[in-house]
Amino acid sequence: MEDAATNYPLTVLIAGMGGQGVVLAGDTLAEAALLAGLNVKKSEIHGLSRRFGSVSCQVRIGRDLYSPLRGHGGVSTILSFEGYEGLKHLPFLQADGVALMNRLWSKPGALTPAEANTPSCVNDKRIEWFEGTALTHQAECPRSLNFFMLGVLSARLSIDAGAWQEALENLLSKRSLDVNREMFSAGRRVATAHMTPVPARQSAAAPRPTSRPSHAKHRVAEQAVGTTANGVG
Amino acid sequence: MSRSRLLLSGNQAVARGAMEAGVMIATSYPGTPCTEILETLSTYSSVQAMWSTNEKVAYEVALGAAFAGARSMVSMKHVGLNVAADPLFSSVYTGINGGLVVVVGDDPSANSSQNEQDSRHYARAAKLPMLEPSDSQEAYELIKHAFEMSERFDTPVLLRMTTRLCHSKTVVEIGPAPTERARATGFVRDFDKFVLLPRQAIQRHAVIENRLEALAEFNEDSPFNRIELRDRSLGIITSGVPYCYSREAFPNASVLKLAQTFPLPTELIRQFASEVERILVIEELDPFLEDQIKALGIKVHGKEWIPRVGELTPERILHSVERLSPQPQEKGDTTIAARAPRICAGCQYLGVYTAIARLGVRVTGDIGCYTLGALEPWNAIDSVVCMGASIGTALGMEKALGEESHGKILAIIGDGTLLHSGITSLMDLVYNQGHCTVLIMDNSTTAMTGLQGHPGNGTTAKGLAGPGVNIEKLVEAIGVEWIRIANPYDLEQTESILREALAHPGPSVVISRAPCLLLKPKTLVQQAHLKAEACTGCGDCFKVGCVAIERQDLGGKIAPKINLDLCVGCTLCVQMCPEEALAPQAVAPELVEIRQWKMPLPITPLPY
Repeated sequence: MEDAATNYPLTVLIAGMGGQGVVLAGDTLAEAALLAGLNVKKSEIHGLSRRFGSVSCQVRIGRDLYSPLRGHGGVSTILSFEGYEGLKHLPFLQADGVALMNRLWSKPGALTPAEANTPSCVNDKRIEWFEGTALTHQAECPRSLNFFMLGVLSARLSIDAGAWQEALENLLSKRSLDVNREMFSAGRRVATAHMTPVPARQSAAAPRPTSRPSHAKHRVAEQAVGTTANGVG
Repeated sequence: MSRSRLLLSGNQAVARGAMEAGVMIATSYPGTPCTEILETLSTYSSVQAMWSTNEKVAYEVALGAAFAGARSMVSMKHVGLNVAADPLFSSVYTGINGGLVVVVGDDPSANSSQNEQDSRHYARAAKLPMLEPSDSQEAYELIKHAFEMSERFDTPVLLRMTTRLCHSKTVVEIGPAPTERARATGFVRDFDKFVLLPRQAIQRHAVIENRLEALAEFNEDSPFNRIELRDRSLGIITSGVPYCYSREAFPNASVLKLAQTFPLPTELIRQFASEVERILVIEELDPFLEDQIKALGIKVHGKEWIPRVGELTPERILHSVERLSPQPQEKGDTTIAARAPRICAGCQYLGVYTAIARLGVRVTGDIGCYTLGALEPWNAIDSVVCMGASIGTALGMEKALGEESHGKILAIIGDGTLLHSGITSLMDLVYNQGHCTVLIMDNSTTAMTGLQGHPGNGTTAKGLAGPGVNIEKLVEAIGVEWIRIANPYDLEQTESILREALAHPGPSVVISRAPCLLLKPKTLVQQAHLKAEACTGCGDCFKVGCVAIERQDLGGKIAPKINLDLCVGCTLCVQMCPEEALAPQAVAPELVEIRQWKMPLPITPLPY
């Protein structure tokens, strides 16, 4: 971890809806950081959130950590699996932070009519959009969105590829390991290609795809990154 | 794989520490934030882990094991301690034999609870020592310490956690599991100690008062309390997770970190007070430490700045102190609608609540997933108080409102909650000749907290299968004469049975029965499909409140859009559609596997 001293402590807030795998993604991030020799604190809320409600967790990585969570203005990176959940948590983001958001809009209170009522914060300059939902659906594994987005996040962290791989193996069942690993790599590729200019250090840490995806259906194209938020509503 | 450095939640750390301390008997009733303590303990072969019928029973079982000379522990959420309060208070009088640790999880911000109580008051009220860990490592160490304290001072010990600690994962250096299996030392009759007749009780009260003095003295030298001297212009007295927040918010301040927060180490506090210029007490919820420290005659600041309501964060503490006024809770951008939790697609409750919404009756509710029936679109519940309260409050309402309320009051309760504490109220309903209808929604599990077993389904914490309580026979034995079973996936039948039940004079019970879909996922054979041309946009299908029914604008009319990742093919929306625009359609075999993945995945096992 040559740059651990400059990049850490780091606070990642992962947000999404119940059932999207927020907690598992957070566990995997925490495990990877631990395997990379860093100190970790992770915070989450269980309970009612399981039933399609809001779910969020915070993972803090660094040497001198005390609190397992930070409040408004204390988070360096938001990783969101759904648009409204990401926007809702923007007050937590530091002024120089970044929000990595999956383009999926699931309107809270599904019973209110679908009138377009886009919050103005959708134009926040700190947001970067990724086509996680479209790509994972295209690859016929929509349940792996959490690992796709974790791959997106991984491109920005100096946790080496080996630690990520081991974390995935430790936390995933045999049945779901392969497909999630592929989606993780896909997210990482998309995010690495998206970052311009690519910092030399981080591109070195990005893994080559270890093998071709085992089924063609899981292949993901690399073009799918946008910077605007179309289709809100 | 065996590692000694693990990322453990507070719950997992407590379980691990208890196992290493040789706990033999562990009991609990599931409830956020403490559920995973017993779930983790049940994975250890050396521990007899048991889900109990309710927290009072759990407490009594653990106490009995302690009487018999086994190390035992009982864990529960904060409101569970209210249920267990009766044996708690008296067990402080009897004392123990083998160590007994009571773990309670408070829920600041009421993330998944009906109140935001501060259970630390129990330590003072029931006169037992209390420990408050601040992270997983400390939770792991303090539970071991708690067993030693319990045996040394012949008292139960309270270990107080909070949601943030229970569900935060931090690094823990674990030790080895004990090589020898723990054994109970045996019960020895001691009339003056274990039999609380009035004369014995008053003698034991004197023992307790002496014990508390000794415990305060012991606390002066506890290695888990510590003074951290830095900048002396500000001294912070704190405990539990707020210690972590304080360090983050005021990195240069001096800190007195307390682990045993009752009885307090008064000399240590006085010493700290003499070392620093000003003192700020930082604690969540009530001024528990602050009031006691003020009573010592020490001038401190606290709740005039630090919020009493809601969970703290480092930022909330900072803002409160800097602006000298309480801050709102940190809930994110409030201009974006909150995302309320929803009932799963195809759950039996959708059918039940769709039927109830048509009845126009008062509904007293209870605690479980089904509490969500109080929300849109059903608005089907008028009151929710605590576990088991539905039947008693229904009876009280009926008695107060008199005859015109007959047939207009419905109590709804789940199978787990009925057995937890609803059954005594049902007896009361029969005994006092009430006329309410009780709807028991039997899904054969404790769904809300993650599918734990209970006496109704007979599955134990160790996974052993048993016969389970026969609810209709139980209800019959209590004296209810009118009992019907409804299929909640048949809307018309459910509605007509409920109407019949309400019309019946005297108490009536309807049991709607279908296993929780998370427990027993249905094999996917069909899903609802929309014939767009037949849809008039009447919106009746939305009244089911199913998460799989989304909305779309079809040329000016708001039509349903079935989310095929979620639809389980229950047909409730099909039954609601007056135009036959929604119809079930068989699922192609190659799609079944993909769509069957819709259910939330099970909790990941521990990495060891």
